[in-house]
Amino acid sequence: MIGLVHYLVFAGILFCLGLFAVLTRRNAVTVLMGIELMLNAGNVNLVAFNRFVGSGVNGQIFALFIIVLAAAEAAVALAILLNIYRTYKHITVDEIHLLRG
Amino acid sequence: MLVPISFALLALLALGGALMLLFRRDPVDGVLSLVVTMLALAGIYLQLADPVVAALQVIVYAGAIMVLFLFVTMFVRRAEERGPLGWDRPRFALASIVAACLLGLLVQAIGAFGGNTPTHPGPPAEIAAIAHSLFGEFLYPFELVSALLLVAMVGVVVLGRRGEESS
Repeated sequence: MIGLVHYLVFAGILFCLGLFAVLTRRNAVTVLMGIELMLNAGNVNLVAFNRFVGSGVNGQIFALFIIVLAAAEAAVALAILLNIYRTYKHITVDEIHLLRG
Repeated sequence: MLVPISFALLALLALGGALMLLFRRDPVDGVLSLVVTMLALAGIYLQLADPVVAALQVIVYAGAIMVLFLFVTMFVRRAEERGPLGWDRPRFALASIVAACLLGLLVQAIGAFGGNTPTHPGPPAEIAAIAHSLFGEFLYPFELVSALLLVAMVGVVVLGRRGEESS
């Protein structure tokens, strides 16, 4: 039978894959997608804990809030990316250092 | 018997999509594989008896957010981004170590914690209970989130506007 531990380990692997994408990839869109992956891993944890441990629906409510926040974050970040692209004609995160002192 | 098999299939699908995101150079491939991951996660939410989050996962994540990513990716994609992925070796090694260490710590923590966790789920939550909670106990956060969405929308409109000084 699938228990809470299976879901937690699955979410942990998903989170580490997202972290790996954030750390290795140089395309800014892919970095953002890694962040989305990490947010989703957190969501799996919330829903799994709500199902197995909690008694109410708080975990599900938090998951809903995280989905909304991820939507807002993605919209703002992608707008900033389009502005960066307009300035640099690329979105390679290694070569963007306008704000470096 | 059905639940373990479907969980294994959905988990493999989700992790496979995430791996495709990591190991394909073309960001459009990455977006499309991430859509697969999101849909598989919606299936996992359904398995966890959570149809509301599953539906929102499909509508908001796989629908809205990923389509936004796809549009922006196609705007900013450059021709040389096809073909095999060129790895930066020191960075790859460091990131592997960091991610592996984190995964090890997580699994250890889960194992230490897992001894006293229930393996059998409780009864699934009613959708009405979610609605009562969202519009009762969590009314203020709900309204704050709507204000945040408005601010984000205005911010995106301002950011997306072409500046007067740029050509």
